Amino acid sequence: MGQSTARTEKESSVEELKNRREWWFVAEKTRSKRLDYLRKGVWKKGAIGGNYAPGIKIDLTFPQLFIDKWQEHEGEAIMLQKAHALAHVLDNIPIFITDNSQIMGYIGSAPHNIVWHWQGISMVNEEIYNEEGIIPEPEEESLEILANLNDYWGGRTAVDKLARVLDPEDAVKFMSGAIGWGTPTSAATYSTKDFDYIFKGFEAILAEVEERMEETEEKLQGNPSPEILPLYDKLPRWEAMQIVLEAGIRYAERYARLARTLAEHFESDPERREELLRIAETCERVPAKPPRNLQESLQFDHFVQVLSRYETFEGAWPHRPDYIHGPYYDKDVNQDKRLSKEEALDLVGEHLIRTHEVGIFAPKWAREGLQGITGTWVWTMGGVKPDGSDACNDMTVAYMQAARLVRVSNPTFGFRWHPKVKDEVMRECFECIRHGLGYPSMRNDPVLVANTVHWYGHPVEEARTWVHQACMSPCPTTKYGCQPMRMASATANCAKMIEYALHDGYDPVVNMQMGPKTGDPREFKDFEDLFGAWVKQMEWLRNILVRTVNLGRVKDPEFFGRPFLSAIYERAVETGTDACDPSNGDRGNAWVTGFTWVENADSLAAIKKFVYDEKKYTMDEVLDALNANWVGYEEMRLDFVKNAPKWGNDDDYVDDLMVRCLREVSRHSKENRCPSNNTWPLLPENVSGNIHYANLVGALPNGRRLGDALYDGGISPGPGLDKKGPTAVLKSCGKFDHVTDGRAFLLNQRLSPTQLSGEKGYQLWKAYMKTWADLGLDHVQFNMVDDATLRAAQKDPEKYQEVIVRVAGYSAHFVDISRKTQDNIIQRTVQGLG
Amino acid sequence: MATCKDCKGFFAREDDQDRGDCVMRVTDPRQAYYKAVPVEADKDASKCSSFRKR
Amino acid sequence: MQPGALVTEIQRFAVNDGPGFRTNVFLKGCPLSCRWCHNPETIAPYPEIYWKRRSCVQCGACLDACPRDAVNAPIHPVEAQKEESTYHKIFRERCDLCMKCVDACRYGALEIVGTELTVNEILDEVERDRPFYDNSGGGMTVSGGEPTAHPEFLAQLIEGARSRGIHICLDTNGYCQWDVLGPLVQSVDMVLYDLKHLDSARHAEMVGAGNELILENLAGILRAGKEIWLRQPIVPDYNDSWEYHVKAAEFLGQLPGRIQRIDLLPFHTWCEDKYSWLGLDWSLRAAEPMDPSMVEILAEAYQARGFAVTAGGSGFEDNAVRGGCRHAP
Repeated sequence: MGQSTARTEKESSVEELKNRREWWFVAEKTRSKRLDYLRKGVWKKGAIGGNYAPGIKIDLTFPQLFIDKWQEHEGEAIMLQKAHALAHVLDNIPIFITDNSQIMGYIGSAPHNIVWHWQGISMVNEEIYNEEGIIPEPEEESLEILANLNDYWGGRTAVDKLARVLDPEDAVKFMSGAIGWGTPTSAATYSTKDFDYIFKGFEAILAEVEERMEETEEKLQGNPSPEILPLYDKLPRWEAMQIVLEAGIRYAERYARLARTLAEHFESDPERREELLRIAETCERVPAKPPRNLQESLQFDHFVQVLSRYETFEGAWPHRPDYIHGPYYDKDVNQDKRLSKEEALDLVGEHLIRTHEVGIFAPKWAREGLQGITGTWVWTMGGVKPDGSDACNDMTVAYMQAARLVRVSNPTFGFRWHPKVKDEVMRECFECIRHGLGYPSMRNDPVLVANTVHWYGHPVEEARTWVHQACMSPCPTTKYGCQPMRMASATANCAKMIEYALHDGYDPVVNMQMGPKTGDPREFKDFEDLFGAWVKQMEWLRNILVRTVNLGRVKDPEFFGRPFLSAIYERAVETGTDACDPSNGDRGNAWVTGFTWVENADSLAAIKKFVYDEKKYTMDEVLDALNANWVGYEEMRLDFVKNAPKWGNDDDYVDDLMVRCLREVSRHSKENRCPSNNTWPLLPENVSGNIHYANLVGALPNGRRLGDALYDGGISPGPGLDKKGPTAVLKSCGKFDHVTDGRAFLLNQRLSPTQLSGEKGYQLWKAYMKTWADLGLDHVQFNMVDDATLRAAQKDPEKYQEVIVRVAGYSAHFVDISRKTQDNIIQRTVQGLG
Repeated sequence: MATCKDCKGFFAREDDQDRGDCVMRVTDPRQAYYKAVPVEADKDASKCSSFRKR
Repeated sequence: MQPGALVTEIQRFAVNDGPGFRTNVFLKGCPLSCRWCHNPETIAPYPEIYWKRRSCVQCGACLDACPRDAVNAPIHPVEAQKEESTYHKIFRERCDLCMKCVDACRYGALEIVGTELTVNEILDEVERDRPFYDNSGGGMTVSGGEPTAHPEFLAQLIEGARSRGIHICLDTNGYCQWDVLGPLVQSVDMVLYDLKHLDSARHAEMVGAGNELILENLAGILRAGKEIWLRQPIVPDYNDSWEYHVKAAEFLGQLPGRIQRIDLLPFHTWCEDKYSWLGLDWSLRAAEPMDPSMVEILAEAYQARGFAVTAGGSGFEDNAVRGGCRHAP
């Protein structure tokens, strides 16, 4: 009886916490002891305002182990050389088993360590000397190790090699930092993974490799002909795959051995001893053989993720865990009743924690852009099966519930909505949003499947397997659909298109002739002349970025080499190629990420209205004002801010221009071709680029000054400029086609928590979502935090550690992000505050 | 000379008695865990601060 | 010829003024003068000027533009923005609302409130959110001010909306002759009907008129069998006592027809800025906004008599009932 009273008290106080929307404490009170321990045990790896938390250290064991073997195998094929180095790391890196944990594997030799991947750009590597606090003690000794590493790698990193083949003029423009960012190399990357193939088990893949090698060796013994010549290069690649797969199995066995040792010699609690023995059995089974139950499938999955992050900096986490693990959950919980729902929830919650704790060092400028998280890890949930039927399962629900219990800012979820999603699953999504997690973002599955077919010609059944390749872009997880490499550097700072159109291709901020000379705008006779100049600048900007990435992609196998990724890529195993080699059947899934996109439509609309239609100002006056950065033109600036039409208000004047711009880009997207001879559609989103580029984009006709934050993302209207509310925003965004007018379009919406409370809140959201779907939008994500909360969080960050907000494509803890971004978020129109 | 195999934290591998895991209990400010580092059985442990005689 | 009417705002994504997502059309002009009025700009039947002190940089352009010396000389913006400041830009007694000052303002600090719009101009805007109405049972809510103060225009607006297939909700205070109100009520899909106080003297004290006509019309609408949601603004020390609502529930229960829903709307002070923008003093400025949970207690008086009742009047509570999936409380 005492117990039941205690429970009632606990429950009533949980109710009260819910009413006060103190979700962190709700989670703390409702989760299991195990999850509570593991959640609080996490060393936070995301940098706060660019700084790592005290106690976080760079792992130096990893690079030292790596380079020992790397140098020993100098002169071998790059994949083979890397395979030897990686195997040595996996055999010798210290491993650990945290109390209460059930899922094994970590990148680094201790929980507070982050790994440093130094094989990308030696120029960036130099920055490590300026890092404070994260160099392990004794510092002097560590710095010497780092200096030795840098000495050796100088000139040998992937981008160093690429720089030598890049067109020199492109390189200079690129290095200005004004038009785009990112590195076209597997050294900073992400890759789709096909778990249908991987779950065959490493032993089965090894057997396949073995078979291919035997076949090939036989051919090499046979009739000499040009056909057999390329086969010589394949053998070392297959050997490399063998080496890493075997090392992967041994790595898991090390955990099995440690777990057994602990069970036999250290653990006195019989329950935990059982768990340790189960861990041992699990790690003996996977990744060597196919998983048989939920713990094995989660463990297999996590080992694969860890192994690929030892190989390189994977900045995103393309994944569809509910789909992959759902059958094992169903077997364990529903059929065999081997696991209770609570036990399963512990595993699922820990899966989120094990992912959240992964830390990879990023240079300061990059981590400032990431704002509090290690990478943009958007896991894909829901969606349909290849046959088009609903793919949501109990695991979808379990992940949503676990997310509310552990409340991590990374990974986040993107939910593939379609008309057959059951109400109970929609309610789970809504609960996550209502609980202030900032995720799932909602994706329109029918639209995105059609889009994936339209742009790349993936067969519809394959398109239906899609996962978020990074924040936004769908990629099939099939043999020829998987994308092995981040096609970055085709990340365009789109505001430059209008800026260059107004400055004859000259960049007034970095003082360089960048784009083509499209003429002095004072000479333009009408708006069409200006628009024509914009089109030329847009094409030029895309061309230079796409060119660079295409080159980086084809050179990647030569300059970087991915033995592990290749070993889990069916098409690479089959053909003895590097996974990144575009000739192995890759269908292509490239896109240009469009930062600072909406500024174009608003700027064009302002000039069209004031200069050409109303003749209120001359082009001369506008250019004078822009060249003066609006200083001395404040009245005029406010006129441009307040009285020029703005995107997001269901105003055809500007909306039609947006559609026109997108159509021009879409046409050009088909002219640009990737190494697989496929298209390069535009994907407007920002990922904090609006802050990054604040000092790189000059004054614009939408009233923005140099230094002001740009709009906050994708196709979201400018902060505070969407004066007609959320329905008008959705209407504007529904005016172009989300299938054929681009790859995907990020939309941020803030909804008031008071409005969405209770059953009426769900009904409102559901009606809103139905309309969102009817209008054909492909994406929307919600901030559910009100201004008062955010202001309070700014003043007293300690008390608001768990407030999560969405910043363009992913969530971050509000208190972690810079003041400038915080202000930007608060400024965003509060919509529907009741 | 004290070697790793003389230490309480050393666990030889079944398949190779000359090698094994050095197992240590670590408590950091956030969590407690057991750590394993592969070592040679005959490795000099005289300077090891965690050495505990068997 | 189609007449126009003064509109203060067409508000999309309204979720507390009738079922579903709605677009509220606020017509300007009201025969009553409720002390707590949350839309003071909708009372006068002519255009007025908002002066938004936070946007004003005190540049003096309006002073130069004014032909009647009705603009006060600039003071330091910091002084003007102080909470206790009594400074207002427009000297109302001299102002003839020629709006030249508004034209001169580049900072958006002076604004005309009340724009004459035609039926089609209004409906073109209303129709933009049709996909939202379709998914939520929403539509247009004609509000004010008091829409029945413009009976001919209102009739045409309703007729126009009807022909475009838009659900129409009339939000009225009921202070209107039945021969005018009756046909209007008949032509809409449903009515949101205000009830302020059952005691006529108390009613007159705060509203500026007795309640006899309003109560008669309420009975008339019920007799006509029109769907009606009764809206009661709950004002502290006026109509917020338990006893009052027990009596009100009893009274409403014996009316000649069924009230589909009762919305209790807690008093708040968010309109304070609007009074100050208009340069008006507000007698309830110092009053405390109500804790919405207080209203939930009063709701029980109506539930006891079998009424459906909400605190806040969400347009989605009702949907939940219609959809048959109401959450257990």
